[in-house]
Amino acid sequence: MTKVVVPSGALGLNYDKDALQRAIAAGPDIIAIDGGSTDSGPSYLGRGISKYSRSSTKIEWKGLMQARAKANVPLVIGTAGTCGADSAVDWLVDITKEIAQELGQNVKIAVLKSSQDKIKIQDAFNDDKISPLEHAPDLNAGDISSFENIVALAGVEQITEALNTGADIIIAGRKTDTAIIAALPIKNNCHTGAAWHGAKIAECGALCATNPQSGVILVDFDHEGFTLTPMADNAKATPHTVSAHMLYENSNPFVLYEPGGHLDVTEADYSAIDQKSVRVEGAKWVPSDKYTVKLEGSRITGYQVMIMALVRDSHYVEHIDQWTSDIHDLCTSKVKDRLALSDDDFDIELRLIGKNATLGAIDVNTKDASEIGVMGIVTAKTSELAKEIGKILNPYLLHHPLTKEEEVPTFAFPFSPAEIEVGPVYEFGLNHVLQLDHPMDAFSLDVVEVKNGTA
Amino acid sequence: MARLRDKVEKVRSKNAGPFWLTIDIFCGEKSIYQDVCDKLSNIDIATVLDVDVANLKRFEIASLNVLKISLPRPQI
Repeated sequence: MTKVVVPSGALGLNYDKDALQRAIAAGPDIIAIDGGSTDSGPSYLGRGISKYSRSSTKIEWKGLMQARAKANVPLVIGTAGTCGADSAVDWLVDITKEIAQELGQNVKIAVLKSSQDKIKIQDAFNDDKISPLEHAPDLNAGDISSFENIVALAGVEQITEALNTGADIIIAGRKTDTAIIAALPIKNNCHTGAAWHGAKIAECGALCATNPQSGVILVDFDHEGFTLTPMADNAKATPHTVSAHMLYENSNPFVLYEPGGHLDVTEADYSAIDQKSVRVEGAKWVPSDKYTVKLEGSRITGYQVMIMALVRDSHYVEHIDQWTSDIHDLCTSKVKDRLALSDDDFDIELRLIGKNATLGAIDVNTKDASEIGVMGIVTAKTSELAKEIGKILNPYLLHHPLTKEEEVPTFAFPFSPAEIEVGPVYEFGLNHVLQLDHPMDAFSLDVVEVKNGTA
Repeated sequence: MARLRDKVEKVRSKNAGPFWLTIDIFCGEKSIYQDVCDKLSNIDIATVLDVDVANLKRFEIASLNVLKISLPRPQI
């Protein structure tokens, strides 16, 4: 039997403090929380930083460090600092030391790192140890050096190594959503399929229950299955809420690939134990022949400047497509002429907020709007060029008339300066797996101690 | 033609990692689920989303009355 508390879907999203106390009172064996995801886009991995504020992270992490001390069990976080790159892990390690000093806690911290050396990845690519997943971007030998950061996703094996150090706190870099939850139940010989399945259900905290914002859930793993209970007063899990969570952000709701194998929940059975808890059995873990870990990489593809104009004149709103198409064409030829650039050197896009900015041409449900936000996105090879092009675009969005006969109009700029430097724009360029001889080959593990308030 | 949103409980879409998009259609009742599965073809969905039908993955999940469609995430 292994009880895992998951305080919320991610550190930074907050959790219900009373529910956490209730979970601690239930006698857990570990507290496990996720620290990130790729959902917020590639810039965080590209820059190796957290998307959440340091102050929010510190307040929430402090609450978990206090709960850990009270329960006297390990506290583990994975994908620290949103992206799980080494710099983001170091950021959370610093916060952890600071809190330990403030609380006067003596703690042993295991630090598991996931960032990859580009030369080693290059060698692995040359040795055919890197293979694409379905619909992966093309990858050539020369591409690997273009990445700002590459991380490998750790699984249960690497988290277990960290647990084996006997650390009070484990701060892990990039790992799969499930690994930090599944590791201890598997180490304790609970049912392997149930461990992975329960981990997938629990990885977003109370998102698998009603009142999803309350965060805290308790998963009790055993030799046959697991029992899941949300800890907030007004939250309950039902077979429907729990089984439906297998759909969430999974392209395949029955099969989940992990380092070392895959989870198959086709035969899983979900039943209500009472008004609040759900019992799940029947998931299978299928080990793979080769041990692979997924890679993520983020690289710079250009530099952007953003410019926003609000159009409220009904005549212009009615002819907005013509207006923006004219501006696009006029501005593009002026940029080519004045900056001696070709079409490949830059891109000007004008998205219509209030019309179809989200879906573009495939939106079949647009309605007449009273005003439209024109979001101009300039992308160029350098930051200087993007800024120059932004300044060439600016006067069109402020004053461009639909016809030559009409008086020059003036539209509303919500910001001054109107052209705003966004900086480097990143893209995820890897959806590949790396084959390893030993699970720790792509990862490093260190132990840091804070004693009597000093590291 | 009946609109999907008027018939079903909920339609939600979310990225599944950076490279996939998934759409969950929660139909609520069994009869509606059957109707949606019968009438909403992969070709219809691919046409509306302007994607190659060969790349669509379809999961009919009777236990939840859910039709799930996954596709490589389009860049718009």
